[in-house]
This record gives sequence, structure tokens and C-alpha cells, in this order.
Amino acid sequence: MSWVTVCWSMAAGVSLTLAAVHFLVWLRDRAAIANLLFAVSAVAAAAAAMLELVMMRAQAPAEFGAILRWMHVAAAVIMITIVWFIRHYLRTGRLWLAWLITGLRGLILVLNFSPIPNATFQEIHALREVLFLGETLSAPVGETNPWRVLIHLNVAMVLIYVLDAAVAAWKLGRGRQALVLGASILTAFVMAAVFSGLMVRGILPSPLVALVFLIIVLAMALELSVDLIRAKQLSRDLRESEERMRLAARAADLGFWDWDVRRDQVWIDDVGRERTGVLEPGLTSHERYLSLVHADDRDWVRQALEEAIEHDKAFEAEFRMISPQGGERWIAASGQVERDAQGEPLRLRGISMDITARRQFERELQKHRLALGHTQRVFAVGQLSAALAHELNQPLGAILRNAEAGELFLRQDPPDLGELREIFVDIQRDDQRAAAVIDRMRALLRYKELRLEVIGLQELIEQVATLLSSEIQARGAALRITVSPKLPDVRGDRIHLQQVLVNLLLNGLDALDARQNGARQIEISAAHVEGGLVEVAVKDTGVGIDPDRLVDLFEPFVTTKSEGTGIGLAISKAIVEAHGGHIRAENNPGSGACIRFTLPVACPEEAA
Amino acid sequence: MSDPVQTVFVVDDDEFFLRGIQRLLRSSGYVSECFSSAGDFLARCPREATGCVLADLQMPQMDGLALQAALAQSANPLPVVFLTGQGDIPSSVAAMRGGAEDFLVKTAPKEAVIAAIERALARDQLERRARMRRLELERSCERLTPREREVLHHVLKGLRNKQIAHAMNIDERSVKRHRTNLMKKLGVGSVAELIQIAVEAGLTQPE
Repeated sequence: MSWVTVCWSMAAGVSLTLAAVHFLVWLRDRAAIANLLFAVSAVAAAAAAMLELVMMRAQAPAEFGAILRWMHVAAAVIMITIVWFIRHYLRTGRLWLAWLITGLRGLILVLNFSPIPNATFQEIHALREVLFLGETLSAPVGETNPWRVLIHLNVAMVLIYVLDAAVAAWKLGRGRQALVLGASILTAFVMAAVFSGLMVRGILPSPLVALVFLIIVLAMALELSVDLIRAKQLSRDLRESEERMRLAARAADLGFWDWDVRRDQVWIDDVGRERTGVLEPGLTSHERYLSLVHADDRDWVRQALEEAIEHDKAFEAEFRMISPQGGERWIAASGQVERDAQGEPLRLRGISMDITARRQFERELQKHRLALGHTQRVFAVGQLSAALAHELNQPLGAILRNAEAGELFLRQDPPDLGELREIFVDIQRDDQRAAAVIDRMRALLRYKELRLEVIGLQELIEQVATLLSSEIQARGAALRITVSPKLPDVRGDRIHLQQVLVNLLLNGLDALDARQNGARQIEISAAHVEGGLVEVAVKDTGVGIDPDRLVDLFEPFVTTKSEGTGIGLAISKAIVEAHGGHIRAENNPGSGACIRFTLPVACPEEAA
Repeated sequence: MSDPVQTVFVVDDDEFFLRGIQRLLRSSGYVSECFSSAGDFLARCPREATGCVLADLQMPQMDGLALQAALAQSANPLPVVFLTGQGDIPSSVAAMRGGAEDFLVKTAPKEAVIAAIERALARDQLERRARMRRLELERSCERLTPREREVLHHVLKGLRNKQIAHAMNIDERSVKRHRTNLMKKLGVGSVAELIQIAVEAGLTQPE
């Protein structure tokens, strides 16, 4: 049995097996370039081993030289792949040096295939027999190639490159990889240089590349398999962290969703599906998902998604979803766009949460707040009207008593005319007393102290719209604001004018509520009218005003609403008139009513 | 028994209302007297006055409810009718609990006011008569000897002469004598009459 045959075949076999394993790894994961490079170098190592085995048994110098020439090809492949392996695996090593080594090795190969037998020998005169591992093998005898110095240079460059890369990796905290790869490659190359020198001197039958390269291949394989083991560990960790995440998400009632923009596939996890209560298992499309969103919310949800993708904004929305069973659920969703290297959107990934309960709670709260506000208003007006009634009933009672007495006096025969005259005097005075009470009450409502300032109506209207936005939304109404361009400013008391607009808006909302169906719109418009005035109109699509009530609508305590206090419009009128304006009401041609009031512009000359 | 003339005492801080109501009362045939405050009324009202009080609820210093309480404590608790500018539920409840005859707003029709006054006057007469009787009875009782009072007590409990004699440890003839005397002093002719006045005077409760 030949030990040489066994050892060299085994080296080739091991190299080929490892090459196959890592080639398969690369096939599964095309990003694993290091594995591919390793597979190529291991195949080259196997080829070198087999060539060497044949070479050592060559019978003629020419045969030896030809095989050595091909061995140089295998060596070049190994050399170059090692350089790039280190670059990919350790992610260190100087790029220019790597290219220089690659180029130089290419040059050596060109020389290798020029008429000279190979890059090592200029001429092999003869073969002489040497004893190696109990076997008689051929060793070359001849002139070395002067270009052989290039090979030495190349090896030296590789050594420098590897050393530099290993040191850099060490500094980056990858000490083990640097040590294993650096030490094995350096050892192997030193050995190769020694063996090559011995071969050139005819002492060894070959540079024993099979052994040298096996060291490197094993070292690289060891490193890569450590990686494989670590990958497995990582995947286990990942699974665990995923499980933890899922538990946390379930506890927080968070659902995950993922919209693959390119393939238009929406994936939603179990929690998300359960909470939205609406989606069939598996993947669905973007449009299918949107079709389950409440019709009123659909357009703006679609818009928000498009904006998130176009402008790279975070997607955040609270909307209603309709389940096929007919229920309605409030969902809060947020997400982030992921893009590829070119900046094209790949997917929108995010979380969703069922906030139906929170929304309901908020609605209840809002309702209570409104009810409270109304109660306070009613209470205040109730106190006012009680005081008014008491004040008025004094003179009214006196008038009544006098009139009753007068009637009785008239029945006497003869009537006591003196008494009757006194009665009439008293009645007149009591009547004036009653009128004075009413005047006093009106004075209370008249707002004589105004803090006048120059006010832009656009701003004023928008402030009021903001103030009432939640109420408008809660009542399902839409508010439109139309202020004509270049509208002059008015002079007025901001707070009181806001009060007027709030009163009119609330009245409008009440009018919408009183109407069962139809459009729910309120429009506030402001325009310049004749006489240095600005007219503001609050127009609703509600029930409108009973034509009989249009006349006394602005009188105190006149109300058309079952729960009304009848003071809102009276106060509004008092405020507008204190500003030097007028207020009037009319019914729209179609539906609803319109309250218009005028205010004088701040600088009449400028406006004219 | 002839009653003295009943007077309607009007108490109100509103001078003009006072004039109006006084005219109405006068033309309707009532004797009336006006006071512009509760304090004034309590100070000037005659102790033996009969009739009723027509009071405003809201007055400065002493209001209607306080006047009502003060009257109830006095020896001459005249019935009260309230007339108010604006009545609220709590004060009307308080007034009625305090024994007010009625509670009216100032703009109530004449008929309602007159009817309330009539009821108050009738009640005053009734209550006054009951008070008088009780007073007379009390005076008569004061003339009884201790023995006679004891016999009266047993008679009102429904005991017969024999039982009374046994209870008092005296003979039956003495009991009969005491009975005759006490009935003479109280001015009654029969036991039935005796029990009736005893009920009126509030004497029937066990001691």
C-alpha cells in the first residue's frame, strides 16, 4: 500500500467534501460569497493534490514540467480566492493590495504558459529518484526560472496582506478569526516556501502542496462551520425573541401587519385579524383591506397610506372598520415604509390596535361634557329668569290688585271716583316700574364695556372652528369656511364676537340634529358689503326656522328648541348691536336657515 | 258668642303692592291693616287681634318664613297666607310645613286670594274658639279640689263609682258627691258632655 497515494487522495477527498458543503450553503444563500470562495479554493486544493500525486510519479522531465505548470493554475486560484475570502470574511484587508496580488498572480500565470516549461523551472534536465515515505518518487533537476522571484514577491505580498488583515480584524474585536486564519495561512505559506525550495534543490519530489493547502482549507472550514453553528444559535435566539415579542404584543393587544407594496399583498397576524374581526385567513390585497374600512374613512386612509409612501412619512391613522357581521370597530394603526437601495418602497410594516372601547369612552365623556355645558347654561338662565320673574311680579301683582279693586269700586253706587283716579295713577306708575325692570335686565345683557381691537375675520372664524371642532365632529357635521380674499379687518371685541359665532354655530348644530336626515353642513362665510360693513353669515342645512318665529327670534327667552334657553340669539343680537352692526335671520331657499350679521370695518377709508 | 271684627294684616316691603291689595280688600269688604316689615307687624299688632296675616315671602331683614315661625310661637298664632313674587319649591314646602294656609304668587287672580283669606279667617275663628274653650276649661279645672280632680281622672278612664271608690279607698257615697260637685263646677249635665269637653280641652290623655 502506498502512503503517498492514501494521504494525497484523502487530502483531495476532504477538500472536495468541504467544497461541496459550502457550495450548497452558497446555493441556498447567494449572499454568502465567502462560502463560494471557500468552495472554489477547496476544489482547487483538491485538484492540486491530485496533480501533485501524478507529478511525483512522472517518468520524464517534460511530463513533470507540464504537470507542474497546471499545478501553478491551481495554486493561483487558491491564492486569489484566499485573498478575497479574507476580504469578504474578515471584512478587512487592503483593497488595492488584493487587486495587486490578483494582478501579479495573473501575470505569473501568463509567464507560466509561455514557452518555458513552467513558472518554477526554466528547464528541467532530468529526474532523479528520491525516497519519500518508503516510496521511490521523482524529483526534478534543472535551472530555476529567473521569474520565480515574482512568485516569491507574490507570496510575500500575500503574507503582508494576511498579516495586515488579521491585525485589523483583531483590533475590531474578531480575535479568534484573525488568529485562526492568520496563523494557519502564514504557517502554510512559510511551509510552502520551504518545501518549494527543497523541491528545487531536488530533495523533495514536490512542494507538498496537498499538505500545505489542506492546512489552509481546514482552517477556513473551521471558521465557516463556527459561523454555521452561530447562525443556528442566532436563529434559535431569534425565535425566542420573536416569541417574547408575540407575547408582549398579545398582552398589549397589538396586531402586526405588513403590506408588500410590490406584490400588493397584505399580511396580518392573528391578533390583528382577531381585533379587526374582519379578515379571512392568509394574505389579502390592499384594496380588499380598504374595502373593509368604513366608507367615511376610506378615502383619507388611502390618502394617508399614499402620502406615507410618497413622502416617506410615518403612517398614523385612527379609523373604523366594518366587519361582515355588521359591527363597527375603531382601529389605530401606524407604520413605517421600508425602501430598497434605490429608495423604491418595498413594504409598509406596522402595528394596529383595537381602540373601540377607548373611543366609546371618549364619546361618552364628550356627551357628558356637552350635557354639563348645557345644564350650566340652563342653570344660569334659570337664575336670571327667576330674578326677572320676581322683580316683574311685584309691579304686575300691584297692577292686578289695583285693577281688581277698581272693578269692585266701579260696582258701588255711586262709584268712588277719587279712589278710582288714585288707582289709575298707581297702575300707571306700576307699569313704568315693570318697564324699568325689563330695561335693567336688558342693560345687563347689553355688554356696554367692549374691549375693541382690530380683528381679522379669517382668524376669528378659524379660532371658533377650532374651539368647536370636537363638537362638530361628534355631531357628524361638516364645516366650511369661506372668507372672501382681501376682506378688510373689523373693529370689535374678540371674546364677544367669538361668543356670537359660538352661539350661531351651536344653534346650527342643533338645527342639524333636529333634522333626521339629509346633508349635515354648516357654512360660515364673510364678505365685504356696502356701507363699510362686513357681513358674516352662518348657514346650516338643518330644519330651518318657523316663518312665524322669524320676527321675535332675537327676543330674550324666545326659543324654538325644546331644550333651548332662548337667550343665545338675544345675547348675540345685543353684542352685534353694541358693535354697531345688525343681525337678521332668514330661511334658505333649499333647506335650513341662515343668520347674517354685519360689523363695521376697522379702517373705512382703506376699505373703500 | 259674638266674635270681634276680623282683620287682614298685610305685611309686604313693596309699598305699591300694599296700596293695591289694601284697596282690593277694602272694596271686597274686609278690614285690613298694612305693615311694611315683619318686625313692624310683630311690634304693633294688638295681642288680642283676630283675623289672618297676608305676608310676602321675600322681605329684607325678617322674611316671611321667619315671621311665620315667630307667630306660631306667640300667644296669638294668626293663620298666614303667603303672597310671593316668585315661588320656588323649597320655600313653598317650608311654608306649608310651617302651617301656612296657602302659598300664592302675587299675580294670582283675586278669587284665589280672597278664597285663601276666607279659609284663613275661618280657621282663625275655629282655632280661636278651641283655644278659648281650652282656656275656660283650664280655669274651671283650677277650681276643682284635688279629690275632685282625681275622681274626674277615673271617670274619664271609664271607671264606675264602685271601682273609683275602691281605687281611691273611700266609700261610694263620697265618690258620688265629688262627681256631682265637679260636674257643677265644670257646668256639664251629663257624663257624655263631660267627656266631650274633656276631649276638646285635651284632658283625656293618661297622666
